[in-house]
Amino acid sequence: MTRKRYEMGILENALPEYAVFSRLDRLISWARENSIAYLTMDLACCGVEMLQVSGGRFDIERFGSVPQVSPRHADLMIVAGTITYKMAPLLRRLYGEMPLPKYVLSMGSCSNCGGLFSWEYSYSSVSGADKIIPVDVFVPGCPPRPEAVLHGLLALRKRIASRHAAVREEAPGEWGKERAVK
Amino acid sequence: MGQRKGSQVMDHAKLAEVLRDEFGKDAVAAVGGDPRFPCAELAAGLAKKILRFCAFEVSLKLDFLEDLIAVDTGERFELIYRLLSTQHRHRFNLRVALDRGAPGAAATASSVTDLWRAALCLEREIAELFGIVFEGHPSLDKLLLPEGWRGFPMRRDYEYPEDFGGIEHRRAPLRKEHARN
Repeated sequence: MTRKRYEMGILENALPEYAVFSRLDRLISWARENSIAYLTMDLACCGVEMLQVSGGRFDIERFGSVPQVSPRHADLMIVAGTITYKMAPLLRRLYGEMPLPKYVLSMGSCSNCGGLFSWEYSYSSVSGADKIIPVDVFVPGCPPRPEAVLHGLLALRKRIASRHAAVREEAPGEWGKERAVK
Repeated sequence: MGQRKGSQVMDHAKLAEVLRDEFGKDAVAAVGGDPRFPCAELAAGLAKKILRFCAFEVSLKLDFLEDLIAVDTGERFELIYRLLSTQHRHRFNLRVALDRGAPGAAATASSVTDLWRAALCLEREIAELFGIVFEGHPSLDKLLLPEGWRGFPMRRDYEYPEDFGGIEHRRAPLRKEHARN
């Protein structure tokens, strides 16, 4: 945590040391970015790399992130792997079950743009997670190294902390009106 | 696969002889092909009868359906039954040709689920990917593809969908304003 980013300050000699001054939205986004629980949405081989991220070697927990198996306890969905048309409605549903504010990290070529199974070569896979749900961070690679996922998480933290993208207050279901899976 | 002691070694030519003796000269149209994958081609009309004979005849006893393969050659469909006898330890590939029918329409074949239960899933898969309807199959529900899929993806004349379930299939190339936000 840097003081500069959140514009936090301490009034010396006026108040006790634990009194920190900041704007409330900065404080909230500071709390949010340091406790990102992510939903393990492993759809294909990228999922193995995603599990590595939470292992002892790469240890995503030092950034305050923990894997969750329930979408109701998750802030971030890591979409790791190929999304088939059969899986797309379920992915959308799990995204809808996540509480606000929610973020999506698209991991690997398949969920970025279709990758190996893009629209020219495959009839059954969705060409990109952003065709179904809004994506905040794209992590390239096939599959990405765990370090790349950590980098993606740091990018997301920066995004959460930044002024214009601190909170996406989106009413549930609003996104779905345009792209509803019939 | 090792031969069991006392059992007779049988190859595709010998099988063709047995079948021709039983069903007449036209029962087996051709034998051979790639030596790594020899096939005996059965007459289309007699196919079900011959397969039943293969399953229960004592000298053949092909009791295990290893795989059921469908091929679209462009002019016709082929079904290849890979059959194994767990008793005699011999293995045969039997090929049956099917009419393609009208473009887009389903071809028909006779189901072998009453002979080998393993055909239940194999025929469902072929039915949805090739559009071959197996008559006598208990339920040809979709196995791999989502409900509401149009067309048969493994056919040569299949064209990729424009969209499915409201999701556009094609992806536009990256635009400049999206390259960096």
